[in-house]
Amino acid sequence: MKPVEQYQRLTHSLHWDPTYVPESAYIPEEWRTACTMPDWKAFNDPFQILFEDYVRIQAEKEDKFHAVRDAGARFGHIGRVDPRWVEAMKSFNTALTYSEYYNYRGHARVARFAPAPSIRIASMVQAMDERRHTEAAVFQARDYAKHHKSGFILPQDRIAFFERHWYFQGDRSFFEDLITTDPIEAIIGTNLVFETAFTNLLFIAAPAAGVANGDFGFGQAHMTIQSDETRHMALGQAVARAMLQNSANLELIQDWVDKWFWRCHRLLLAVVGPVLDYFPKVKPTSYKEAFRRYVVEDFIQGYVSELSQFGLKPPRHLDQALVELEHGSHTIWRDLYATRGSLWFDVHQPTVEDIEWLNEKYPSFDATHGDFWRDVAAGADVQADTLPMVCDICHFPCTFPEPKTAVALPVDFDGTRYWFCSEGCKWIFEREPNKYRRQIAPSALLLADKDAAWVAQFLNITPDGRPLGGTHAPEGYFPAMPVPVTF
Amino acid sequence: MLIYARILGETSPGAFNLSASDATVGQLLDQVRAARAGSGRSLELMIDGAEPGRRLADLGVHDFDLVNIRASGQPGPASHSAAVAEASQIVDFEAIAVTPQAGARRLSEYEEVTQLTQWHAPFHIDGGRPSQKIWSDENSVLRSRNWDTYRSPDKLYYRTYTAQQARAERAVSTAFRFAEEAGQLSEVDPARVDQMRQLVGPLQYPDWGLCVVHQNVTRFAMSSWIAGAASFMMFDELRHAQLYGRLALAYSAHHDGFDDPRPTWMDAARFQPTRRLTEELLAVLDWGQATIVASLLVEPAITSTAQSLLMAGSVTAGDPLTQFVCQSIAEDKARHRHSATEFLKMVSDDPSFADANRGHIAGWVADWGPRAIDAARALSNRNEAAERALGDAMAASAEILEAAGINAESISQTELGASPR
Repeated sequence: MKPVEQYQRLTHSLHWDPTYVPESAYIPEEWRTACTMPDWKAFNDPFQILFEDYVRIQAEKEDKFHAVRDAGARFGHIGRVDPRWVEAMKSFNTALTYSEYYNYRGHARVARFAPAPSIRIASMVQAMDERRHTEAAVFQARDYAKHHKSGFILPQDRIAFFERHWYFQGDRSFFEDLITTDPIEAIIGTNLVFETAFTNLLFIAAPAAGVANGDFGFGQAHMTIQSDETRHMALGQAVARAMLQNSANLELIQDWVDKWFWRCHRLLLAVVGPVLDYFPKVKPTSYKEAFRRYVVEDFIQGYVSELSQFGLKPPRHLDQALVELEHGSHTIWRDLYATRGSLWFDVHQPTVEDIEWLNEKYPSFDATHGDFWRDVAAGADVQADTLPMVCDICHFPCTFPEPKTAVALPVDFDGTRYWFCSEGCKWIFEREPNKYRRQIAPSALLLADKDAAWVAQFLNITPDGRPLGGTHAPEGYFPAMPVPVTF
Repeated sequence: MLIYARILGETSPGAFNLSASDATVGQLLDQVRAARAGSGRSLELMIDGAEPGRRLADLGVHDFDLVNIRASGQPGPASHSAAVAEASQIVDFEAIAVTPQAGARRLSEYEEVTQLTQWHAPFHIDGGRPSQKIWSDENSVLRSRNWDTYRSPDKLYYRTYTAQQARAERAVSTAFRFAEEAGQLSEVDPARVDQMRQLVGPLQYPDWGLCVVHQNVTRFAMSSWIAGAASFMMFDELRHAQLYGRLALAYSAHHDGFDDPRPTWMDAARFQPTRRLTEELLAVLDWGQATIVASLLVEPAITSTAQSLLMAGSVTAGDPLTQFVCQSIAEDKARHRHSATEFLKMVSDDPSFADANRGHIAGWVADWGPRAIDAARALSNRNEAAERALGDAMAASAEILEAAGINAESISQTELGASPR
């Protein structure tokens, strides 16, 4: 038996069509994909891996990852990572830990409800990978906490902060959206758009910055993560191609590419933008350069162009994304700087060298953002004294592309007014308004009349990075859960 | 009344919470003026007729509306709003910090990577439809005051799980290689070959069914602790299905009739009760029910019977490979039952929901237990040793359930024989 046949015999052929229960009981209509395919069983996942090979390869990767960690601890590398980079990791690691966790649970859902046996197997393997990435993020946090003087804290001590601080609501809403999608949409959103187009920013550009600032563990961790991502990308590309071969799916696939392109753009601009453009002392690449290389050239001009033979077009809000690219990371850094009193990571005033680099990479930086930093340098108080309008899709403030020209677009739905930071977010809402009904009151209402001590307890971490060990919340709101403090 | 306002061409929209539902233009502008961007400046609401005394509602400005403001003059010296002044107070963190409990200890690595990675309600997304809920109590009838109290006895996490299973797979692969190199399976007793032909290939399907069941649990479980254990069970069951498949392939290298087990699984009489049971279990979307029924009723019944049939006499018939593989599978299965037993203990001892949970579980035992036994007996084809193994497995499950206060008569009082204890 040929290896391919053997693989199919041990994976795809495990599935059978139930006859004792109706298919509607096995995969209820509610959970099925809206895509169609003449024969789902004919779909082949491109990156075929058996259990035996998976655990062998992954155990080897784990060994390598932990060997680098151990060396970093033993020889003091972790303690010598540039402090500014560790502040980046406080932000990045907070977002990454829970994002990977959501992907883990989300891919278990795809495995359960996807229509093609091969997608189900591949998604289950991917769920395990995402679990691995969650753990890798926790191990990294542990290393910083143990070996660096920056005051890093472990995820369990900052979950309330992640759940409640404005900066991480974009991350929450992104992955909550992803885990509640059509199973094929989840593949398009995660494997095709996020992982093929955008994770190179996370796992290649950001680690390059990490290594440039002395963080070899981060580089190694993400090199091994990226090797998992390669498998995921192959699945996403194969699913997209298979779906597009049936013209009936084109509109859906296009919509999902458009939607997830915009969601990925907004999230990464806000979270990874500062990691490349502001936090690191040594900056190998700007967010704009990385975006142009990995997203525009590799993904859109490469992969999406190739799929144009099936009618797929570039993402509908690409032009707006390119406009925002000039300003997004600067805008979000200003917002972070103005609210740094509530953050447990340091948001610094750019140095002269930083400003020089920003002007070189972003020609419009000085005209748009220069005055803000000159005022700061002159001693102006820029601490935020109002709460922002927040986008009802991405949950970042309506402050893009930059504060003076901030976009705020209304939609009235079912007697409620919703606001959006961009045409992209507005379009996403209008496709599925029921899904995106506002569930959480704007912070202006939530935090009305609350004093500073209350807010500190709500966020559960002091600005100098100490977990308070307990939390409280409005009645009937977040559960008043005890949050452990790690010692 | 929440109004968004921005100074046109200067600031992004900010939120202004006006206490009065009939707030006036003046009240809004006072709030904007209290913020830094409007401080000391002449402000004008850019709506026709927006006199300070006019009610915003009369101008068509309602809750959640955005208004533009024109500002002239330079911002004055910082005159922060009361809210900002309050926010800038020095918080006495020592006073509000929660004192750690005495005896707090370092977390183990298992705890560090598993604890509190699942975030909490309220969620941003809740479209009202089941598929658009993130994590919800509605996905199981079982309840817990705190799902985060679960701990899996194996304390596995990805790093240790992959290391452990890579070792197990190395051992099993070595056994397959030795069997192949020695041509072991070519010499197996023909009666044994015939028995394997009927059994080993189709047995991949029940374990694949369990794999799918655990996929469901991994998605919906209400804490990272439970999902962690479920996901390793899920992946183990893929392993088991593939091991049965590899055994069938190893036999097919020397004997006919091992290539396609599907017709036997779909049509052979001895498998139909097991297939029905598995399919009915696949249709259980209640993750709590699926955990209990799969790991304490269905899996023990089917595995005990199947493994008895596969292992009994295998060595003497010239097939030590099957014995070795089954033992490796059995180690995983025992781990799964321990994990499920801890789950059972947690929900049946819950300080708030124990009685209700026990009631639900007792119902599942009464419903699924006899059917699991019937399916396993059909699979055993009246093989006495297999029925004894089934009896042992059901007695063990009954003991676990009864220790949790669950009536398990339906599986403890059967006609099955059991090994002397």
